[in-house]
Amino acid sequence: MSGGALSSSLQFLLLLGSTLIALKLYSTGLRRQYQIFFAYFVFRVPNSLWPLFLSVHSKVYFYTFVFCEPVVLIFYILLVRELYRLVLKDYSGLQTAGRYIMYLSLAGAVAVSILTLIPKFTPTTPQISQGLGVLAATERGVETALAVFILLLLALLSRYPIQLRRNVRVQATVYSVFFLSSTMAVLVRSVLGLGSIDAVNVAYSIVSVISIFAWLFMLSPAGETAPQRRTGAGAEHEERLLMQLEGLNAALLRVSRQKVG
Amino acid sequence: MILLTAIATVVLALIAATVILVRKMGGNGHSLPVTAEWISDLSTEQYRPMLRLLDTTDIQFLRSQPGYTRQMESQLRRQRVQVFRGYLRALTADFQRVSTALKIVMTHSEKDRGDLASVLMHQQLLFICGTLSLQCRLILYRWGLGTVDVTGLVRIFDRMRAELCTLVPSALPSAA
Repeated sequence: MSGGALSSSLQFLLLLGSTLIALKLYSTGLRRQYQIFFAYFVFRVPNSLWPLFLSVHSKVYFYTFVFCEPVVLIFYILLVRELYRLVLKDYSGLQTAGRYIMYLSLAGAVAVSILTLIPKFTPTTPQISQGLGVLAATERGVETALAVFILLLLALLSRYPIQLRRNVRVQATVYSVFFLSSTMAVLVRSVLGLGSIDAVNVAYSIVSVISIFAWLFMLSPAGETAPQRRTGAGAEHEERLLMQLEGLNAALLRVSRQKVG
Repeated sequence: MILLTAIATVVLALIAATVILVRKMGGNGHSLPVTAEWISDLSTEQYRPMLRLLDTTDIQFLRSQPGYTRQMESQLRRQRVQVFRGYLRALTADFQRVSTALKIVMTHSEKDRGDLASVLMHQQLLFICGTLSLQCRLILYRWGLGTVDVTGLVRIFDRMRAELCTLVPSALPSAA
């Protein structure tokens, strides 16, 4: 299969996968839980269609791309915000703790993202235009931040005894793969220049196809079942223990108000 | 090429880390890390020896003895540091179990426990700073410089225990 044919096939698979996900979310009612996710795939369908009808060298293509790319980035940010909300959905008691964790993760993600934008790559091969370079850097920065944010959020929340719904676990894993592969694609393009663009685009499209079909097959209404909170202790025993821990909590509150010598 | 390999390695490591974390959070529930008996037994008494384990009085006494050598002092310091680290590990384990128990209270709560989240984070930060400071002081002590004071860390437990007994006195005997 030639490079062009492979690329077209992947574009078709992306379009097909996006359409099927939107239909599945709509028909199963999951769109109510995943509103941004549903809206993103509804947007993806026309966003995957227009490049098939426009010449890559035309001005219309360029302006449509420049307009659509920031919209995609805004969708990415909203998608991760939705994921954060879904992770803490079953845990009302963790709203404040979750907010602290979100601030910490956000600070870490922005710091890492800024650090990755510092190096200036100077390849010998021709580069994309300055305007597109800025757009690529923004894309890389945002996607790195989002991937690191998800990772830090999970790392900090994993210290709490919480259990995630299967669909949320699927979302977190696929988002990470999706954003990190995109970050890597932009980075490789920056390092190798225009000479590598076709190969990188094909590789990125393959990962995107895998991600989209993973969402398509792994997200299901059954995956929305709320986790069972098994504690390994009898309810009566647990009740007494929790009462004691409430007392411990009050004690801790008092301790924190006193000066530790 | 080296740069690309490095980028690919970092990306793969991040993906692997995400998968591990997601799997960890998909387990079939968590057992309570503490029992009612354990809370009843919660006592700082077992950490009392820590308070005087690195006391300079012992070193001064050793120096005053006939036949004292620097090797003897060095050996005593090394042994004391080893024992102290054992106590510190136990103290840290107890602290983590209390923290985990409090996290369980938060996850089971039907309403937001912002009060508990703040206290827990504050206490954890204090404890981390305290243990880090102790580790640095232990290194200095090992080389004959400075002293180590664990009163602050142990006092947190002491107050917690005293407060707990006054807050839930009836629950303790029935739990045993």
